Amino acid sequence: MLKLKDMEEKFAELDYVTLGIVLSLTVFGLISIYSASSFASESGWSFQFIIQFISLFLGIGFLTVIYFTPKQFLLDKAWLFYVFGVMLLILPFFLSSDSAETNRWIDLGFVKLQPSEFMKFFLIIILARYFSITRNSTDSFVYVIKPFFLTLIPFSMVFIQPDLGTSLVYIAVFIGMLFASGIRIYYIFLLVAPLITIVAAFHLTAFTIWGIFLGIIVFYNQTNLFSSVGVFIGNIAAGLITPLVWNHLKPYQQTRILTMFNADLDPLGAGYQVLQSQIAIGSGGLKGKGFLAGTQTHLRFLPEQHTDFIFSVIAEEFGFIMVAILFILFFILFIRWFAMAFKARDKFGAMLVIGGTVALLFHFFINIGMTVGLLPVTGKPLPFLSYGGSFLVTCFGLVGIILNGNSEQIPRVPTFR
Amino acid sequence: MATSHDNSLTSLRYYILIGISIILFSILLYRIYDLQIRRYSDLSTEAVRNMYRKYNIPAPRGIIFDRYNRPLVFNQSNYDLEVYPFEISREEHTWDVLSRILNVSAEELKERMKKNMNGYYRPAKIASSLDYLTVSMIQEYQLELSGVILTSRPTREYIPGINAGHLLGYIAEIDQRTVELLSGEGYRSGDYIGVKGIEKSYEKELRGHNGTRFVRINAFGMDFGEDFSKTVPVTPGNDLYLTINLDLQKYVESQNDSLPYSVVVIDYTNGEIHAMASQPDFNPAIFSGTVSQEAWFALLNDPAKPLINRTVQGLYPPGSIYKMIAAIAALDENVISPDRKYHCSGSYRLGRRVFKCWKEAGHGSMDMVSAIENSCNVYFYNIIQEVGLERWVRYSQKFQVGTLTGIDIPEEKIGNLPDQKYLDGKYGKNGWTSGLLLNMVIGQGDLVITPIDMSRYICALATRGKIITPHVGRAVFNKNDETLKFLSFPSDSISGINARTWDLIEKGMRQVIAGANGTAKIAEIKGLKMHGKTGTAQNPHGEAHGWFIGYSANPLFPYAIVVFVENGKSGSSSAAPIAKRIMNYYWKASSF
Repeated sequence: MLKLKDMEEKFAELDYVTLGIVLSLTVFGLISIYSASSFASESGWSFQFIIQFISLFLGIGFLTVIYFTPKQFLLDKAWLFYVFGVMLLILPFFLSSDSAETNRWIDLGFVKLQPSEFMKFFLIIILARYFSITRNSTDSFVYVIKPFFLTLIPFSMVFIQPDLGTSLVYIAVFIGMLFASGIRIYYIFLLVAPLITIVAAFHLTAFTIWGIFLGIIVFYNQTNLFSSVGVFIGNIAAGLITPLVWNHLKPYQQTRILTMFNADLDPLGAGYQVLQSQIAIGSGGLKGKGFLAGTQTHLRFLPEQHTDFIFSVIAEEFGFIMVAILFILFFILFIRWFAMAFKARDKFGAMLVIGGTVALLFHFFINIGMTVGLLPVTGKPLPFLSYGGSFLVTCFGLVGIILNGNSEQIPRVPTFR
Repeated sequence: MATSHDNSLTSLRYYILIGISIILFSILLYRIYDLQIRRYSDLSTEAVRNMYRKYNIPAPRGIIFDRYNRPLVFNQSNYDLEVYPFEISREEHTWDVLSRILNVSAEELKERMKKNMNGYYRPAKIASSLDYLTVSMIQEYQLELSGVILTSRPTREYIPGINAGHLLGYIAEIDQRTVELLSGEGYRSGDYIGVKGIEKSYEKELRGHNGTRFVRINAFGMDFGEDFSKTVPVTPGNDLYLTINLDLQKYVESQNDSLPYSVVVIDYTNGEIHAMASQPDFNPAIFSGTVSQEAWFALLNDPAKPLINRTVQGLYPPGSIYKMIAAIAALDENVISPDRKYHCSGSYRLGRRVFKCWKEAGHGSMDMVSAIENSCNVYFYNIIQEVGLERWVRYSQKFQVGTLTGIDIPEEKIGNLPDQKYLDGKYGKNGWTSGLLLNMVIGQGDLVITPIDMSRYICALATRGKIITPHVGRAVFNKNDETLKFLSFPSDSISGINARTWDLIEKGMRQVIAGANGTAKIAEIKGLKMHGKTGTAQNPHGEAHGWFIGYSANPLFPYAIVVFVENGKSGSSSAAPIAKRIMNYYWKASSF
């Protein structure tokens, strides 16, 4: 199915800026992992470093495969992929025995696969297909219903694994693509409103202001009085129930949720990680403590330092200047990818680019937000830099999706009956 | 095909996406800027604090010696148990082991940790003053008890045989308020500070400075060895050498079991106190370690008030020992001739009031010397009429009566020398008569002083006008630079009193001991040429207080003594015998 001529053309349009930056980030990640996984007592190349090094080549291979897969094939087989992905998500529930942890993995003996990682690709593809071929008007709420359920299925399955972080990636991808496809902003508002309601419900003044705000927005946007009232009452009711539900939670459950927002509440529990992470970052200062000289890192005050908290290691050892450089590199990537989506010649491709970009941007924001103590600890790694074979391969795969979406090949859009 | 080119990402939405990215990046970058640049120094400190565990090395407090280098107060180790909450919090096993060793429930121990906790990375005390067996058991289990440390704290030990509670004082764990009050002097909670006596007045010399050891650790509390470059060495406190003679101190403390009394034995040439007692007192040893509430209340509620240092805090009328002031004023100002005689019939009439002499039958004809010898009140009633208040006050002031002596024992009380202004204030401008003056001349009425004030007074009489500062500190030995620094105390002298006056006073005071009618004939000691004066101070609350002040004129034995006996009835019968015994004992002990 791949013609040599197509491959040559495709090879010619590879974006070297993207590849260059991605490879630089990954190499820098390797350096940091070397530091994060070497301690005073040990010497030489750490196990983690070697795994990551091998994964880099697997990632490049995966990127190549995805990049050279014709867009037409992805479009045609979107449903097949999607159904396959959902089945993979179900599989661990049957295979696994005791612990909750095993629900995330399929153990093939030589390697553990995480189906929720693959699902990111399949979700992006199926959503890209829907948004590029649908005849539904973007002004109609019907437009949202199908992709909403397409997202809801994998979301709920991953959410109950439980893996809050990954399930939120699906939501981010969905909302990002929905937005880019031209949906009325009001519909996105309707989807996000209940979440804001739940948070606002804990503060009477905030809840009142939010209620008024909600009422105004709904009143001006909704043509149908019946559904307006429905949306409004639904939200208020959810807000009123929330405190009741909260009070029914066990104290330890409440603490767990509260420490997600305020690390100082429990310096020895979940909050401890965030506190130590902030100390690591802050003590790095402008120029950092130097490679292999981070005390927080090397005396192991930082938890999960080579995976989720790799950014803290970098900030401690290399300082604010290097952090700024990394930010610039990431920023160039995201802006460049959004530009690709904007300029893409077909909507399917554009949607693929948006999906991949949003997924990576979301990871970036969630991870750094967590390490600096702005966001709760969800355990999401940092693209290209964090240790984790599957995750690195996934990130390269997402880059493959983005670059593929950007390619010149224009798929034929299926006709409708 | 046209539809496939339909890219609906409008430029508006494209810019919105770029805008959102910029906002997200800005939030994160600002936060990192906040952490790495603005809060850099705070967080660096935190990081360093993480790395090191600090151990406090308590400074050994200085030792207190007597004048012959015999230790009166010294140190002994006492063990406390501390835990690092950060390391121990999650360790049920550690609590189990501790609970079994200390025989205290794990819950109680956790409670104590919470109560004394001062952050997760600082040690919290959970038990103190452990006995030897407990200490050795903890040492045996030390490997299983990570985050648990034994700290040795030097405690004060006292030489047996003397109490000297008021003199030596004691130390106690500093309270939070004092830590704040003395901020800048480096006290930390858990430190000990002198709260009474010498321990308090020489706190700065005795305390030394705690040291700190820094041990590198990782997040699991694993020990990577001490960082010697950071060690703050401990500075031991300076040793203090007192003027006190241990043997004499022992002797003066055991003079009277039934009545409270106060004694000062002082070298009148320089103010060095060889012994001082305020009985009953307390043994300072009960304050090392934790004082039990019962023991504390027993002291507090004892009717004999053992916690009051009568010698420096007790205010009493001096009685007849004060008569010399009026005598000196009269002689020195040539108000009367020393040969001028007054007749004592046993009482003195002023207006409608009758003032009695202590001898009801009367002393007959009295001159200055015999009036001192007999302690005749009537003679002094007569001369004070001539001397007047102003002169009496002025000569009192020459002896600095009613001012602080500046003794190096804390909480000295100030006496009251009533002058014109005081009397006007108390009784109204014309509300008082010379009747008050008659009372004051014999050391009664509004005049109150402390025994230590009287020790300065007798020294001035013995030296013909030298005003010394009574003191117990003699020298300070600095262990670090091995220097011995002698302490100096201010002295002064009374000028303008002529020798003839001193001669007569001396003669009178000698007659008190040696005269046929002397009130303290009992106090004569062969070879010392004792001089002195008794006093009996009326006390509206009970029996009169007995006083004796005196000194030896032997230049080889230049000591003065003040004895005060609460409710002793009379100076001759209560105070003078004690003075005799003490001076005799000391004279015998130091005879060559």
